[in-house]
Amino acid sequence: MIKLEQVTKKYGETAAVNGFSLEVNEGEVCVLIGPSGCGKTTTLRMINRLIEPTSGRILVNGRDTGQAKPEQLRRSIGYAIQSVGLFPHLTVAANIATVPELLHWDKSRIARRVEELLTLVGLPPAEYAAKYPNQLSGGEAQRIGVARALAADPPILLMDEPFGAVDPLTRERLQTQFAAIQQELKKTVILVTHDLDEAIRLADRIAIMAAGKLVQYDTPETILSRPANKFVHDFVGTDRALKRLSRINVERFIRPAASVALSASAREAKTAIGGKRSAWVVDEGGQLLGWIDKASLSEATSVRQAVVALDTKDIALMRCATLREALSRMLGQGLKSIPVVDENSRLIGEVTLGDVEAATAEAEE
Amino acid sequence: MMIRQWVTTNSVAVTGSFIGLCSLPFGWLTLKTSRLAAGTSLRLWDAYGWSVAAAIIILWLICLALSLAERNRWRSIATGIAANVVLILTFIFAGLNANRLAATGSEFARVSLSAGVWVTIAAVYVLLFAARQSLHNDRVWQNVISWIGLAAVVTLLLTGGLNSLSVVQEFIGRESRFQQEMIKHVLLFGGSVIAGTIIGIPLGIWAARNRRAEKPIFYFANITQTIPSLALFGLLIAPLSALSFAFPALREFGIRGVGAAPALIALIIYSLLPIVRNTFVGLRQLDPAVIDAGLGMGMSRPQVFRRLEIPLAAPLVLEGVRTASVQAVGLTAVAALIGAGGLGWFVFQGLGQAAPDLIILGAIPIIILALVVDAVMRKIVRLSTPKGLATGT
Amino acid sequence: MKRVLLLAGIVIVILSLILTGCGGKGIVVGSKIDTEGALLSQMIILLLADHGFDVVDKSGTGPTQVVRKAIQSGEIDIYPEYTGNGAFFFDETESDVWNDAQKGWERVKKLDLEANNVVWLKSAPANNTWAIAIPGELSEKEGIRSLEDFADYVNHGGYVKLAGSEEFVTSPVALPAFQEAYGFTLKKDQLLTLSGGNTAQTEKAAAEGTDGVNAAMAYGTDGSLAALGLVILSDPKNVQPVYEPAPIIRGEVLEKHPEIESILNPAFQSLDLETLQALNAKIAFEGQVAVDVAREYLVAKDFLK
Repeated sequence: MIKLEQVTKKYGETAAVNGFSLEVNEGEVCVLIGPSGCGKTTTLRMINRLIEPTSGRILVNGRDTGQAKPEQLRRSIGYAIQSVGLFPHLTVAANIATVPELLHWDKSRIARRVEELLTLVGLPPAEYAAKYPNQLSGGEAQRIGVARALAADPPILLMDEPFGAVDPLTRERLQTQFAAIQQELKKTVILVTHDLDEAIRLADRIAIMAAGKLVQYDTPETILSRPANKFVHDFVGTDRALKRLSRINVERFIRPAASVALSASAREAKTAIGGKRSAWVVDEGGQLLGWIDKASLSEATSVRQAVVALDTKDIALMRCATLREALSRMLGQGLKSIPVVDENSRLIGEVTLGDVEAATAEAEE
Repeated sequence: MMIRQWVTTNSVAVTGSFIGLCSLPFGWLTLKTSRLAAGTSLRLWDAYGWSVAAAIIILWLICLALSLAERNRWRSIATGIAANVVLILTFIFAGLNANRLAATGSEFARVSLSAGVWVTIAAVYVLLFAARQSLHNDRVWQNVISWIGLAAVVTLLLTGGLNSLSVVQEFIGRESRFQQEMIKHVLLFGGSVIAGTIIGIPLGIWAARNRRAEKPIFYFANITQTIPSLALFGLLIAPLSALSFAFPALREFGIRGVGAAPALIALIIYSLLPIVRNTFVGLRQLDPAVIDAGLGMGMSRPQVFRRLEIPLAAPLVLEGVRTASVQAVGLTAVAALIGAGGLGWFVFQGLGQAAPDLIILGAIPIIILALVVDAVMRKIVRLSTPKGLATGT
Repeated sequence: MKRVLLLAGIVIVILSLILTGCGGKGIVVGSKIDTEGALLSQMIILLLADHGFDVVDKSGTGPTQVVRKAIQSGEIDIYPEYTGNGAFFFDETESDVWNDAQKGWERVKKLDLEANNVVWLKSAPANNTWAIAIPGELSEKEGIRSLEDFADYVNHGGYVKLAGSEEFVTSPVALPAFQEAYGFTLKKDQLLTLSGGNTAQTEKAAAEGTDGVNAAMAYGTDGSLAALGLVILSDPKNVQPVYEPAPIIRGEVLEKHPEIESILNPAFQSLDLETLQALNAKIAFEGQVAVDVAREYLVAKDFLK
């Protein structure tokens, strides 16, 4: 879909980008990453011709971008940047409607699209459409930036550190949301970041750059397990194993978990636990409330007496969580298994430390 | 109420009341045996009589008391009304007593307003400013207290109630000349600001876009600003004269050494700095991310200019025009000295004849004109500020 | 950029056009910014208008240099000027031709016609020259009537403080000329120098004794003298050049309308020193408007129809 052929950008004698070649398939997320000054942003901006290459070609769907008028080209490519650059004098709706208006869509179509996109990024249109950028929080602004980039439904999306300007918690949420949106829309995305974890989470393939050149272009798993050279090896860091876990979803490893009802008696509980050491405690609706230790049951008469309450949010995982989060919680809480719940906090199953070890071993092969 | 709160909301009102009380030791009316004589100064009670004087003193004391108390809506309205009443009394009785004094004095006697009246006007202005601030949510009352006093004084003036005051005496008989010079004044400052805007905005854009152009442009604009106005007017006479002698055809177009042409050119030069500087800053202070996003999304350069740069820079640019306008109203006063006319004509006539009231006849309209231009331009700036940028008030 | 400058130039031209009323509509009458100038220019305006001319009132055009430039460039067509000023315009301050009324007038008429094509019409017989005025009481008390008496008074240590303009105090034909001719010198602390040349201010100062002033620079025809109780000291040695007011007009305009000379002449010839003083007093002292005073006089003397 996007093909860069020996693209070079020189400023005077120095080459910011040197003979860079890359091919991104349709529907793929390609992340450009590397140390500061490696040329990743320059490369990105050459795709939509905000910077003109000194030599080399860039082809989009087989057509040379150098031939088309830059404005035309850019209207068919979504563009989202770190500082977002929302137009402060326009409402959120007007901001999002920018490219559709440049393309002369009719008003009703634009209005519908704005609503659609606000819902997509999780901001209720009724509340947000008429707001002004100075009334938005950082995370909200970033989301509007993405919505704006997607407004005209471009096949390609260029993003330059789109989640960089917010706090880590918000960033994580935004990344999750983006991953979900990408699942649905399947755009061809080129994303520049300096955050390796982000790259690993979001990329189908990662292109590592250094001094204007492409060093390795592979899936995250490959880069983590088979770094091409010392540079990549050092760049990726020593906790590759942990990083790999963030690519694995817990869904595969959910196993049935022993559970008792809160209203149960001690004897019923003992039966339910069986040979295990503990069980999860749920209410009548199946929602997770806490856990209970087999040992404490010998003194108690009912579950209610012996139950240890849990803050479900802190402990339990959702289906879409990664093994890395599972491990993190296990270590944080001192547990060997973590419950998995659905959207309504109902217990589905659990994931154990043993599963994590098995997954790590699997990835090593 | 906390001390700091009290200080910030009430201090202006207290200051105004205090200034009002300070008007008392000054002379309020001056009786001169002739236009040129020095005259004797009359204190408030001698000029207006004890009952009116007492009324005014009491009103100021009321204002002071209300200002010291905790602020609330009714107290603000009351101080506003009291200030307006003082203003109206000041002028009505200035007029009536001027009539009385003129009738009893010699044939050429003149009665003029003195320091006490000017201080009163200043005090009323300050007090009304404070009252307006605290009534910003109450449009109706805010407008009432802002305009009622002024309207009454203007009505008084127009119906001849102030005819015995020497300023008005100077005006009578010179009405047509006054109109003429007023029109010339407006054309001079208006024309120069318009021309300054037409020239200045492109220069500002050029300076903002082009690093090399920035230095010389600001060099020129800054230096010309430091030249005293009269000097600049004078300096332009010689080259324009030479030009008009070399190309006599220019004279048909009104471009001669003296007259409107040098005044206009000098005024245009003076209005350049505020406009060029504000245009420059207006464009430079734009978040580059906004421009980058605009271009990246597919706006052409002209579209970026029209849709992003203009609406975002407009308020600042118009502020520059406002500064230039108010400045021009004042500078135009000097234009009368090189034959261009304008309200300054009265000022210089007054200076030439040592008749202070003639000077005032020229100066006061200039001040009022400047205030009006300022208010109108502020409104325009407010209207041009896009909602997303409004910072309140 | 060039487009902008061109646009700017066009804008300036258009504005100048509007402001100067597209120039050339009727005869433009100017004057200096003083009482007598206002009076004489209004007389000129009324007389010309009465005889059917379209007249534009640009009285109070500016100070002397500005008015001179104005007539030379055609910004104004006619204004009242003083014969004695010819010495300054044409740099002949040494010559004594200016001390004679007729000779002075003829000389400046010749020079201005040659140099600027400006025609000097006949001047009024009133010598509005520089003089020194003192308060009436001082004159009475010390018996000072002429500059000779004044010189005596000063040389005998009498208290004096003279208020005058920069020009009056330094110009070789003004105070220095008086001092030389009458044999007295005023020291620095006996002088109060103002930067503008304003007899109204100096006379007011002397009349009120501001800053200890008891003598003032004055012009012969000043209107406020009598009103302020000041008397002019006579100049028996005729030190000062003669300054008679005359209407001066651009040659081209006079050629087109030669009758202007005969229209203005009689009125100007009727203006002698006392008449001018009285008329000036009406404007400066009584506060009447120049045009009314001019009209009243011209009607009374039957110059206006």
